[in-house]
Amino acid sequence: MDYDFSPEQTALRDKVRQALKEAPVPDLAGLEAGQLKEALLVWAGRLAHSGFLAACRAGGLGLLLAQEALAAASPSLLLGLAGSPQLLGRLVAHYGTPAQQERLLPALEQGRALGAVALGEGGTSVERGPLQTLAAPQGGGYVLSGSKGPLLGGPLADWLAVAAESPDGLVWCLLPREAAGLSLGPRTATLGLEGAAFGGLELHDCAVPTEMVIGPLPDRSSLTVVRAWEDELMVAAGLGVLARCQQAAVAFAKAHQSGGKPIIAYQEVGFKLAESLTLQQTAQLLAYKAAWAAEASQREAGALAACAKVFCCEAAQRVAGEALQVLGRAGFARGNPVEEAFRDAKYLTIAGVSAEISRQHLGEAVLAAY
Amino acid sequence: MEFAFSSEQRMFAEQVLRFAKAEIVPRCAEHDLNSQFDREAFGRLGRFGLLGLHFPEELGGSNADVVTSTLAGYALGLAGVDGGLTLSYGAHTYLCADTIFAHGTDQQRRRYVPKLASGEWVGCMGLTEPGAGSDVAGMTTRAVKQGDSWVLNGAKMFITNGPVADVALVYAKSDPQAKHAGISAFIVEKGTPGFSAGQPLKKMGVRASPTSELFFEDCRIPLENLVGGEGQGFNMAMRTVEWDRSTLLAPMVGSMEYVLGKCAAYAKQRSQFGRPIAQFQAIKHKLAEMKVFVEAAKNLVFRIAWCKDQGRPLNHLEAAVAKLFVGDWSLGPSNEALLLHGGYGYCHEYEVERVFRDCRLAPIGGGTSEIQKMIISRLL
Repeated sequence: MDYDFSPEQTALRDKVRQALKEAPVPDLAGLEAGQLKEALLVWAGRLAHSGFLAACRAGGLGLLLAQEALAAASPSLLLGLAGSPQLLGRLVAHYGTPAQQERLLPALEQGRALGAVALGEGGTSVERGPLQTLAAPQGGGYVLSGSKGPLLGGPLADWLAVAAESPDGLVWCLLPREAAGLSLGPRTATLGLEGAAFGGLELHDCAVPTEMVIGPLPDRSSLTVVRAWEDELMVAAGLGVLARCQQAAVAFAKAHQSGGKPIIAYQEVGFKLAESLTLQQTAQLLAYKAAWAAEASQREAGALAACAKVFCCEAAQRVAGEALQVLGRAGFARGNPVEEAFRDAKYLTIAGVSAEISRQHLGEAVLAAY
Repeated sequence: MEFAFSSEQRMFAEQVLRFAKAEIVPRCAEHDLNSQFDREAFGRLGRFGLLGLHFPEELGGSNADVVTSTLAGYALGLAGVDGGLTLSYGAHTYLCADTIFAHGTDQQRRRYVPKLASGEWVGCMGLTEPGAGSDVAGMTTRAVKQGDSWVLNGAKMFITNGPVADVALVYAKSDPQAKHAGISAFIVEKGTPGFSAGQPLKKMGVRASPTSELFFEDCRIPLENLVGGEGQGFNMAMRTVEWDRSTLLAPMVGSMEYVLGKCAAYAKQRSQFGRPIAQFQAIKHKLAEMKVFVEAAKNLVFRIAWCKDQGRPLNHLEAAVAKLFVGDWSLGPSNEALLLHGGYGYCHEYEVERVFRDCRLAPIGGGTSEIQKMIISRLL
């Protein structure tokens, strides 16, 4: 047992912090799509030097610490950058052919291209039912038709992996954004995380050559695996939201005076912040342990990941709400980190495996264990 | 960062689990229902070595580290030992015996620690008063030096093991002007003239742990019964916080994991509408809530234990976080466990009812949740 981080575990975080110190994060939410992509690629290039993007493919506790630091500065920046190597990069690395890996991974991990994974669909829960996006065999490859709901990074992606149902089983098709028959929708207006860019896509007779197809896969486990990777990202974003809100709320409560003393001195405020800190520290340890368990291939890794997802993302939502309350009218005004975080946090309990489904998985894990 | 226990620690926890299931648990329900301290079970804990794990061998201990000691408490809860017995074990070992071990003279250590570690004697700690709980400096029990004696006058309240204790470690004001720095600690043995314990208080939970008032009426004790020097009492009491937030909280967390297992088993065998209730989403939701609590609480409690093993000074913020989380956040899952059992959960013969009652002490005893929030908010 060791509750201290090793130098190896903190090395990447320190590099990310250094990068954040050298260049403040711009207001991503206010940028139009082209400018946003440019800004994300600048940051991708900056962080690629530190090994951050490559680490997103590998995962682990060191990565989680680095992502927490990045999300504390900007949850949008984390999701806008890390979704690419962590979802598309891992998918290609785990399931793709060597040729596919050679073609995509260097660009994604050197920060030269952005990628996205197209899984969710409007009318169905993709994990349970058959996908409505279909892949019809043609030549050695497939022709895709269907549509995908708003996906993280979709409007900006240079490369996409589209999950589809073929007669022979599940396939993932790797498409460049300019692929014929692929139409990327505009940025969807969202409650929060405006700097991460969400958007849907349409597929009409979109031909995919065989060398760009992953699969047909023997089972559907890649769907849940991708969701689990998304969960890791949401947990990191949740820790970032917690840090961002707690820091802003404490600073405000110390500076804002009422009745001749800072409002933190009042129990209604001080106790709220104490509860928030408790949630933050508890969330951190749960997330760190889940990351450690995954890295160490512990038997309980799956259950711990679900615990972390549920707790960290819901704690982020709750703490953001409390922080906003502490900031009062100042927090309610647009353009401060707490109101942004309040809106951002909602996505975290929805994305990946939702809080509801995560609890069902956890309940099933408990039933299986006893 | 590395969360795994060593293989020795895991093996020891297994031993404690087996011992407790065989030797202790079968006795728990009866003693809880009768609000009776189980002296026999307490002795068995002593003979197994659990009442002095961290003491050196020459004083009856096993030189165990704090994580191992915390794991032992966790295993007791996990086995299904009631919160009453584990509270008595914790207060005896870590609030009384350890304070004598850590701050006492060699003579005091030799006289008291082996008998407390073996379970031959039961110990208690007297800090809280009828009019002074969290506000320790407000205590009014007085200790006055007269010739070759200290004379104690006053009363203590809510004293775990009070009615059965052979040895009491009592905090009193030796200098009433000096607030915290005027508090000193004294050993008072059962039978000392002027020292008495009240009737056991009737409590909602932890009922097998006897609780009472202690009374001191011109209670004369030898000068050498002062522990740790005059005015050192407050610091000594604060040192117990590390134990309180690790070894004393651990059985509660273990107990919640025990209940989780009970709930899962019940959900699988209880059928409604033609299928086991385990198949309903609402039931899985409750199990998930309990599981999240257990995993989260374990991390916090063992962090305090591990830091103590590293010889680090107590991190008051982390200690308060652990206490606040276990105290306040255990109420929801223990409630869910009871509700999962429906009408049966409301009946004594199902352990969830006992754990529900026992858990209610968590946000109160050893520093209320409000005090933890006060500590945290001041340290922010």
